[in-house]
Amino acid sequence: MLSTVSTVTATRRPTNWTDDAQDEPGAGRAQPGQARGTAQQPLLGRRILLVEDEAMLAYDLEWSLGEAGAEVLGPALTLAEAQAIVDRQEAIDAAILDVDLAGRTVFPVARKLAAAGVPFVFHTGHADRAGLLAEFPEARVILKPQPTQRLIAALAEMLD
Amino acid sequence: MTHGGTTAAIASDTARRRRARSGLPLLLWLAAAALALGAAVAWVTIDQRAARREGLANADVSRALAAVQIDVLDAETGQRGYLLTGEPAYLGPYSSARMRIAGDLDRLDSLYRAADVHRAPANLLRLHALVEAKLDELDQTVKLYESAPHGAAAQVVRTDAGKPTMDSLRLEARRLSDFHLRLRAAAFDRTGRADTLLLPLELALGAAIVALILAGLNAERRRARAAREANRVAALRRANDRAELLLRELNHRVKNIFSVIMAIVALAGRRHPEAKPVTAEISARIHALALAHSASLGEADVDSVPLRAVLERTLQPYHDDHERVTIDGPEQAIPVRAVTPLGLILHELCTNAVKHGALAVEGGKVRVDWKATPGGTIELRWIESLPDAFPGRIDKPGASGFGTTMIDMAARQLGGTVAREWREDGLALSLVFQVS
Repeated sequence: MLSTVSTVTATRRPTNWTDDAQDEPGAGRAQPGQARGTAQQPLLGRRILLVEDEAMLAYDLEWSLGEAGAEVLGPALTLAEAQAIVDRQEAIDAAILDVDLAGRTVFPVARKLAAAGVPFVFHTGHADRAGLLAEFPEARVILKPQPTQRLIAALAEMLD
Repeated sequence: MTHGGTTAAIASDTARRRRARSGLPLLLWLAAAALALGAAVAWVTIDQRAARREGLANADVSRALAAVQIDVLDAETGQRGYLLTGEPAYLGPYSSARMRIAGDLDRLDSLYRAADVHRAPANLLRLHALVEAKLDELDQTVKLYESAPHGAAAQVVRTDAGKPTMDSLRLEARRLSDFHLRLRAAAFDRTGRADTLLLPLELALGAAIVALILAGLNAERRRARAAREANRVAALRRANDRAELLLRELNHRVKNIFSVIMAIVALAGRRHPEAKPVTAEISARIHALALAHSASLGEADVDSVPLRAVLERTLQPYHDDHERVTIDGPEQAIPVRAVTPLGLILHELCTNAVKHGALAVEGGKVRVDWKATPGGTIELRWIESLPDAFPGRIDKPGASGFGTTMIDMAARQLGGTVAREWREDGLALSLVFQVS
């Protein structure tokens, strides 16, 4: 809901928003599957892959995910970065995937995630919801623009 | 309109196909006619040539017959002269005539051997025999005279034994000659008849060729027109596809930009936590605008938007929630320029209701409806209601607030008027604005 924007308080600033977008695995992160969200931090301990080619949006989302307690993999601004993260074979709990990455689609990454059974949300300005769901029936589609809370809520639901 | 257009298109298409169907056979008919006429002209021409050749050959035969006759006559004249005078000088023409005869007979034979002359072998053989008999008679008398001048030879001449032979020969030659002259005449008649046939045939052939060329040109023009038409349709389709692609891309970019703007505002709020209520308010308004505009994005019609779609999108966050907001009204399009002010008005009404009005109360509801009103306007109503057993009441807010001013300004942009009524249940607002 719109009014909830003001109720969320910033708990921590993302640690990995630096010139180097690759994340350093945090020392104290919770094991995937053991994480349990709280009302304040619904994604506490979750490892979330973030793929988004709009820098400002990626930054805001990363921050929001951090506030929700998640550990962010990425943000990947290009398909190559996203593929590199997926190919590292680390545990990924869920993902937010921008569909159009500077003219290339995120589908190669989406297919790998789907094959590995990792839930993900398509975050896209294209309105072809039916086309996306035809190939990825397990995915959720959230159309831009949406408050970041919608994405957090969707991820929390999928991981519940 | 669409139906009429489709019917007309089908009708013209059928007519075009019928023309195309009849066009090909016409060309084929004309080609067949030209071919037949050409064949007739060729046949008549060949026949005419054959007839002319036949006529000339028969004339040659007549001439050859005459030559043989003259030779025999010359030989006889020489013989008579020699017999009467005894002058050997007369033997000159006699011998030369005799020498010519063999050649002239050969020539006659060879003409007969030629295919173009109707054969009359019996007559020819008879003629040969007569010529031989006559020459034998002449030779005999000349030899007799040489052995005994003034004797038996003169007697032979005087008995006129050579005359019947000469008469038969003359008769036979004339008969043959007449026969060939008749053939010659018939052949030249045939060439004349061919001439009278050829002129109309050639005219008809020319006409058929001209018609064929015209029909071909016409068919070509029709084919070119059909090709141009197909090109035009293809170009139109390409342009349409391109426009659709551009529209989709533009929609994508607009949505992207809205989301980037929201992110920028949200980031500003993170940078300055003290400003967070303000940035949240800005984000919410921008989001309301984005939602309202999402109703127009992707619509084929670029000038107007369904009112219901705008309301559903803008009120979606509240609409989803236990049907606290109901939307009800007839099909109605509003101009695209009305989307922004309407989106802002709805957003203000929603946030007010959530903060202070019916949506702030458990079980409170909002009903949004509209109807067409005279003068191309519609009346849109926002009616809040409290649950039946609600103990308190909604207080009218104090002096005209910021939200109220925003709504009034937006209504002015719509060219409309706002009427508010504060009931016990909450706000009942009526917005009348121009839609056409």
